[in-house]
Amino acid sequence: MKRLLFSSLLVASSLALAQNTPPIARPVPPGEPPVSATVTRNEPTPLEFSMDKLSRLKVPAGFELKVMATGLGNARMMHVMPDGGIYLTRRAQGDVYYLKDVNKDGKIEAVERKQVAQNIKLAHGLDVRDGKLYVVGEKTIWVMTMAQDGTLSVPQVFADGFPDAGQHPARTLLWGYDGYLYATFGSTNNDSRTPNPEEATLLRIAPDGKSREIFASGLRHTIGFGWHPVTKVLYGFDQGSDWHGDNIPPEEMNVIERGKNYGWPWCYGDKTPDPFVNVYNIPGKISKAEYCAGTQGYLMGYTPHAAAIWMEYYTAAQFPLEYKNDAFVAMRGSWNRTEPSGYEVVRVDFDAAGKPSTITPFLTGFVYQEGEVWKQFGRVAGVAQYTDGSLLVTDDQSGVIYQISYTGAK
Amino acid sequence: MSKSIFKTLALGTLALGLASVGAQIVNMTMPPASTPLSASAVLRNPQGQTVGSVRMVQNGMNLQITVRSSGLTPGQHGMHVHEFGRCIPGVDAAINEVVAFGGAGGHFDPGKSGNHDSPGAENEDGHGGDLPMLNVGADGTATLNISTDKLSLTGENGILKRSLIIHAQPDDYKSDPSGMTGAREQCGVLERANFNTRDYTLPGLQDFPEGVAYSSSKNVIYTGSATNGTIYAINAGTGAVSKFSEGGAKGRTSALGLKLDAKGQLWIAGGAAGTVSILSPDGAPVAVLETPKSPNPYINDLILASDGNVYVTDSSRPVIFKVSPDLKLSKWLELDRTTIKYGPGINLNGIIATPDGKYLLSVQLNTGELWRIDLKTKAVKKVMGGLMNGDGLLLEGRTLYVVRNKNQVVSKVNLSADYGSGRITLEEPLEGLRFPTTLASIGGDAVVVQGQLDKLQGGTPETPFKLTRFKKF
Repeated sequence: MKRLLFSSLLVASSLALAQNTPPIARPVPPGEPPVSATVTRNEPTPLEFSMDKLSRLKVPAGFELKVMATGLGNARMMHVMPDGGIYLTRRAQGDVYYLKDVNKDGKIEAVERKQVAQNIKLAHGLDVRDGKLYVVGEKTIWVMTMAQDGTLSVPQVFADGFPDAGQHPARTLLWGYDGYLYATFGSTNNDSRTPNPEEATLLRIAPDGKSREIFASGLRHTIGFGWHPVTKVLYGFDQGSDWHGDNIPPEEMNVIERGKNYGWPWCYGDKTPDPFVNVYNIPGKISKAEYCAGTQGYLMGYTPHAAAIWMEYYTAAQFPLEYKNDAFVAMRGSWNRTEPSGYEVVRVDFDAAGKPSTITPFLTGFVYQEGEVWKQFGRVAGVAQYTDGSLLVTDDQSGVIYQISYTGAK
Repeated sequence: MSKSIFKTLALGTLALGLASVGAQIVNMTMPPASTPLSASAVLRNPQGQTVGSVRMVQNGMNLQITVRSSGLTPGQHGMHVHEFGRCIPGVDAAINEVVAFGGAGGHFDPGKSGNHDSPGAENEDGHGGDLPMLNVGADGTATLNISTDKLSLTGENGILKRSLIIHAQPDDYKSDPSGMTGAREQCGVLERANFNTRDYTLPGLQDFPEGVAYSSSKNVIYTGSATNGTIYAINAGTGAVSKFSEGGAKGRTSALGLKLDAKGQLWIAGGAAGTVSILSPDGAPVAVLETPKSPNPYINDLILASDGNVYVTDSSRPVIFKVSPDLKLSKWLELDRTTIKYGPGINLNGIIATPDGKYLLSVQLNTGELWRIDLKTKAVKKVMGGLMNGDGLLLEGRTLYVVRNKNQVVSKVNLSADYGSGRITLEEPLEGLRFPTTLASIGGDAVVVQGQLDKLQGGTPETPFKLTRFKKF
């Protein structure tokens, strides 16, 4: 009886410790019970885009979808210049294209396409500042001077020595309001601690490119990010781990703040411990629950494995007013979920106070089931606002640029 | 080596409380602490009730220990000094479960013996913390009065801020890890008497803080992690901690010595990253300067001299680097051409500039030598020896404070007018230091970093990591 009393007191006091004080470093990592997952690889059968498939795609009433270009290869990120020129990165081809609808027919024909940079391995995110184009590819950020005709100078190294790309080679960058360059670097692996502390982070780089800091960490593969045009709050979408089941973990929309840890690989969503991640190398050998309590939770979730790529704020006037300062996010689509998720562009609705409220599908229909077989004809990646206020979306599988315009009730 | 009293006690042939023969002759002439060393602990059971007391007095090399306890079952009870000063539940590594007083960790083992043994064993053969058993009478009380030279209130065997634990079972003096002594029944943390310090705690469990700098205009203490380079800003008034700069970016994977310049920028010695980094007053990256690519860099400390340059020590490559005001880094002094001879381990470490602008002073950790280097002529002079494990330095007038990491003390040195010779006058363990690294001045106080860098070689650090503020002595 005495023994029993003692152990119950012990439990009570250790609980109190866990709740009221930060954890203490343990001599050995905690034990965890075994756990099983049911996982499904389901890579919908890819179909090359053809115009006859266009009728499958759906946009909200009043919007119209057109094809601006096809055959562009691995079309990924876009940057639209004020004169309508479009810089497009092609990751698999490792180059940058300059596209311009010179004849204003709404199409980018072959003569309106120029390869303006090449041999940029894994060329992906891009941004413009003071007449220069910055492109991040694999372990290097390149800088090029832009000419009036869209051509670029020979690329120079702006910053170098970034982590290996590994499983997540989609690096992105944007110049911040503070004059620093922000760039994301995903994890080399799926769900374990990374050897290089610059992996799975958002980095902030000094204006001369020569020094940098880890701005935020625990971000497995944040590609789309950006400051809300009104509130200037930094939001980003992070891709959760694969092979943990259909519904774990959600894709995350995060408010990204300096110095914060967003939990990956051990925690997802609202600081939830991920049961499928080994605990042995958590810093301090503490439990996942203790570790996750010290991390930053997400703001909102979206269907697991939907694979958020770029996000773009809509600041133009063509769309109805309710869309102004909302964000559009390309969800490239799942490959380890029984019912595919993503294969769509979604809208993040920001309310009048500039707070995000819901995430809803905007452009859908790329994925469908025929009999028992799932098929898809588009992997959306890049999103950009065009000079006329329409929205451009890339498909990196067939090299298509879609254009979504608001034409109103007809 | 002579044996401590405990062996004799175990044979039962000598009366308790007899003075023992000093085992560490070399330390017999050790400088005194600023006030006599004594300590006490309140023994509590897991329910938090006070059940006894411990009193300790340092007499030269001998530590007089008096234990009074009650509420125990009659018979013999194992008793040990445990490594950490935390009488809270914690994980017993052998069973990976939380147990009462598990937060106190394992037996204090300053000799890194990894072996439970009899109290008579030398520290290199058995845990220094293995004490004789407590013999409890029929009324459940016990009193023990012993003396030992295995433990001390200062130095490498220092047990201030560690804990004394009485176990449920007798000690067989041999079984690892704790002599089959069973549950931890009573625990007390050894607190130094008549001495006050203030702790600032850090949030990270793997921080291993190394450097420190203080901004009087902001009343902020900066410290940085040797293991991940993260810099924290601590409000010296409230103790509130915020992250000033996350570590881990290229060239910023480690932070050792820290200094603030006149613009409020923070300079960071980058350790094995081989870099010198500069952060703006709001923590943004300003520059990462790389030293030449050569094997085994260890950029340890730096000082802003009145000539406008920053001088940087490397503890493994025999060079003092210089960063000029236009942020150009170059080799300033190749040490193998001087009388400073680099050997295995950590060589030149802490560096400071004399107030007259003439000299640099730097301590060589592995030889215990303090060196004076003329800024104009680069002439090198040995100031003194005897500062083994000397790490960070603080100079105030002709008073030099030397933090000695493995010795777990801050040494006070009086320097001659030309800084050419010196003498240790005091050695302070404060309220118990865990592998301290360096210190910075806060007016009449100083703050010392308890780095626990020895735990990077194995073992578990005692968290939270701490910086400790004390009145200058």
